[in-house]
Amino acid sequence: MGRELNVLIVDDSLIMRVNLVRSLEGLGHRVVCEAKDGQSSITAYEEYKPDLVTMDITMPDMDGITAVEKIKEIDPDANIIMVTSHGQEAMVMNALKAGAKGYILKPVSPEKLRESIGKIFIELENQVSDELLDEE
Amino acid sequence: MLNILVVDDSVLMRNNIKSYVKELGHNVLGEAQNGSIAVKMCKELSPDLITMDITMPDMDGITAIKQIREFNNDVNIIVSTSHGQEEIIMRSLQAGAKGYILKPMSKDTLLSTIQNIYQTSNNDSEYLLDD
Amino acid sequence: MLSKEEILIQEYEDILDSKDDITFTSKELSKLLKAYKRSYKQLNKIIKISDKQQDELKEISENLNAKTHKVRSLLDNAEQGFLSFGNDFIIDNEYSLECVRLLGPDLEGQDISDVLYTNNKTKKQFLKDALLNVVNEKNELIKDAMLSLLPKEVIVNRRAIKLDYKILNNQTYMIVLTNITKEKILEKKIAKEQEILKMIVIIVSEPAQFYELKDDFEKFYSNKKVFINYNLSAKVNLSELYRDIHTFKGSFAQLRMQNCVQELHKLETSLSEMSTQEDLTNQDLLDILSISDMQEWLNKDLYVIKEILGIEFFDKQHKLEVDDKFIFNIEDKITYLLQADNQHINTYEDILNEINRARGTTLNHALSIYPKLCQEIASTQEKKLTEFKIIGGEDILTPIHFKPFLKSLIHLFRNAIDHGVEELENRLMIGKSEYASIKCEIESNKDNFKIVISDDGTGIDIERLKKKALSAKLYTEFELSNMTNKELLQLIFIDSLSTNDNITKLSGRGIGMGAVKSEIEKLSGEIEIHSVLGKGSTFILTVPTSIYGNLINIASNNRDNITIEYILSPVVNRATTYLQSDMKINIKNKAEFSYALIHDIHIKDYCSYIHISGLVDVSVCISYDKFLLDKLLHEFNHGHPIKDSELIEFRESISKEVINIIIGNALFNPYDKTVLEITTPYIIKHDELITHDVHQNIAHVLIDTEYGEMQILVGKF
Repeated sequence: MGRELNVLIVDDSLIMRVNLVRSLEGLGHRVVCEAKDGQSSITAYEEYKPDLVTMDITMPDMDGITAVEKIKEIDPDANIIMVTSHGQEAMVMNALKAGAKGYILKPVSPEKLRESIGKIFIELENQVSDELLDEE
Repeated sequence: MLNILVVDDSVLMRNNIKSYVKELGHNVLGEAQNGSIAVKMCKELSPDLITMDITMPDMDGITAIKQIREFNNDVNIIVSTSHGQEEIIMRSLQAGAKGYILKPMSKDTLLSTIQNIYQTSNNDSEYLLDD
Repeated sequence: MLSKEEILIQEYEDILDSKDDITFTSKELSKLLKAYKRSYKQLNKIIKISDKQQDELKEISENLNAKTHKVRSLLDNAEQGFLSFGNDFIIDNEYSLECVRLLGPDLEGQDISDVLYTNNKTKKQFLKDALLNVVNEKNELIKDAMLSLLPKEVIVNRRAIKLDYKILNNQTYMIVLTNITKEKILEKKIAKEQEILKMIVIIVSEPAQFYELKDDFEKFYSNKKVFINYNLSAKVNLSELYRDIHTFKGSFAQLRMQNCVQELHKLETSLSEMSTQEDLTNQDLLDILSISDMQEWLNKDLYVIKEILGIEFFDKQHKLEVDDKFIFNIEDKITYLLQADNQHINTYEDILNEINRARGTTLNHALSIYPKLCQEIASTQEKKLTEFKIIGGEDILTPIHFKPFLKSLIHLFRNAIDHGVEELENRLMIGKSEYASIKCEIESNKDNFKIVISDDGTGIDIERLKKKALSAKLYTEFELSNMTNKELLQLIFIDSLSTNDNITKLSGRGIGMGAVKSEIEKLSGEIEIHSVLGKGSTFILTVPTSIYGNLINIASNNRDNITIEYILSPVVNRATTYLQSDMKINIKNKAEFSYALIHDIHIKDYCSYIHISGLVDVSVCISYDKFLLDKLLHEFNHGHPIKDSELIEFRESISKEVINIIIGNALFNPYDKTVLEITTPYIIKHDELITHDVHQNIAHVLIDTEYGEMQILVGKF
């Protein structure tokens, strides 16, 4: 399957984390770490240097946007996708300004993930679509 | 176009039904004059539809239907009888018949009974299907 | 070009400056004049050029205006609004007409965020910030993501507007506005219909639940409004009330009865606010209950249900679903008692009657689908029909084999609407009422019942029927001219005869009416037609009821009484109609009845025999003159020739078939099972007729036809 990414999941909800792990692994990626809040996500990023981060916008203690800023300080090229529900447009906008590269609306599905990841990693998307062509 | 097996002990009735069947554009697959021959022919020929007289010598229609249903659940069976005794009709429907015609049979009644069976929605407003 | 002039000017200026008094020689003057003329010429040239340029400029300007105008009208006629603004969010002058329609006039100079969100500060700010962010973002990916966050829909002036954003090169934003109000309304409508559908499905699958909830709620609001328990404090009453309301809300939600759910929810919210009040009184509770029109809430939902399921659905509340077999079992037992216990026969008959009536197998019930069906047929043809009900027939039972006949009546109704009832305009033009009327009445007496179906349409055109019969070569002119109107009207029943030139999908093939006639004849009945051109038609269908009517009498009398007469009458009726209508054989006289001893009877050559047992115990023998039998054979076989070698077999065959049909059709009974059993026909020779009781009177009937006689014997042999 295309390029396998190492992913860091950041979300305070257990159910969301489980869901994301299942979806990402279904797409052929590897979840290297799950973080429950902003602070630990930063340390996790430093340690694992993942290819991709999925970040929940609303978390207690440090919110998603601050976390994005801090990660971007460590690695300006970090690929971060925000996970958000409806009605949080202003926050998402700020996250994008802070350097996030995309966002997904809940409920999360493998298709939405694939599309969002695809936009970031264009060659990955091309590989996937080549595969689909082969399957047909 | 349906393949039809005609079963009646009267050669006259068989001729009659056969001509109606042909006029309606279906195919007479075979004919039988009593129940046991009917069962045999059904096994050999696998018709789509059987018209079955109820009162026949040797094996009567209802017994024949029961035997047929033992090995064939798909063939549609129309029983014909000259009297509308409820019990007879109930019994034949329970045995596995799908419709019944009262004698004397006409081409119209045969047609409408066949249509009733082959419709998906079996209600009186069949005439209201607009397409 | 002007340098010469410049030099000259300088020269003369110097001269003027140097001396006080100057006298110009004529030489100098003419030099001056020359120079002046030269300048003048040049000036003219320049003016000419300038004019020309002005004209050109005018032309270009006009072209430009025309082009702008064209573009403008294109934009204005596009059903979308286009407007633009810069970083200051002030709308530019050029915007299309649709913008005015959607957002109002005089948009130029207004702040776009004010126009789109008049009161909502947060949204205004977000729009502006977002747009600025988009423009300033270098990364394409993030830019796209930001664009997708901009509001896609907005509601202004009660219209739903879709917004598409374009960032133009020079820091200008453009918004394309599309009016999607209609789509939104449609979406809402569809969603609402889907909800209603879900509600209906649930209610129909769980009717008991629905009825129970309806009853409980009706009880609740009738009581609660009056009875708040004054012995308890308001708070306690409130919490109990709240609990009840909450439970009802849940139950209504399960059945998806939207209106009740919404209103109960509002009430719930009010109650919960009241619960924080310190000085709550029972009167407060009564007040809030009195303004809550719960009956009206329920009625709104019930109205929708009634519209879709019909008011009959509410009648079903008290109905039980019972297995057919269960009813048959009870009938069996009662029928057994009927035969075994003579003393209480009347009671048993009554019970059986009631069961049949409960089964809904009365004639009235069987025809009750037709009024609604007629409405539907009429509406597809854009004709109007007054609502009608089936009148009469509540006490006539319809055994199962009436079904084909009853089903065939659809053709009569459809025919009445298709060809009888005129188009609405035509009706009005000739002074008839807007709403056509169709009637169906049932009359009955001890011998038969009549179904009368009439319409006030255009009547049957006999001339057209005649023409059709002629062109279909069914009758000659001569034959037709000799037929009475009554007979001619009967032409309408012949297969493939239709006076409708246009064959609609469902009518006009002329087959339907024929089915009605053939079905009623199987029941030994007949159809009479009355029709007046321009006024309407009436069909009278008569079906004899003698046999089962009499069987009931048989049961009440002593069964040993010979019941030959009771069998005889329907059998002879059916034999007659069979010969006349089915086989088209003319009957010469009325049938001759007599009684004879067995020795004195001479049976004709071709004879078949059938035995009937059960409630009556009797045999029937039917024999024929050869000529008649052959004619029957010929008709039955549709005229196909018969080989001599097969003749005997065929003759036996027809003999058996005919007795089977006549007896079978004539003797039906509504009570099922062991009451009547009919054997298969046997062929007998005339000397094979034997009986144990040589002194019995055997009923003897001769029907004389143009081809010979049919002889019917009924007795115990």
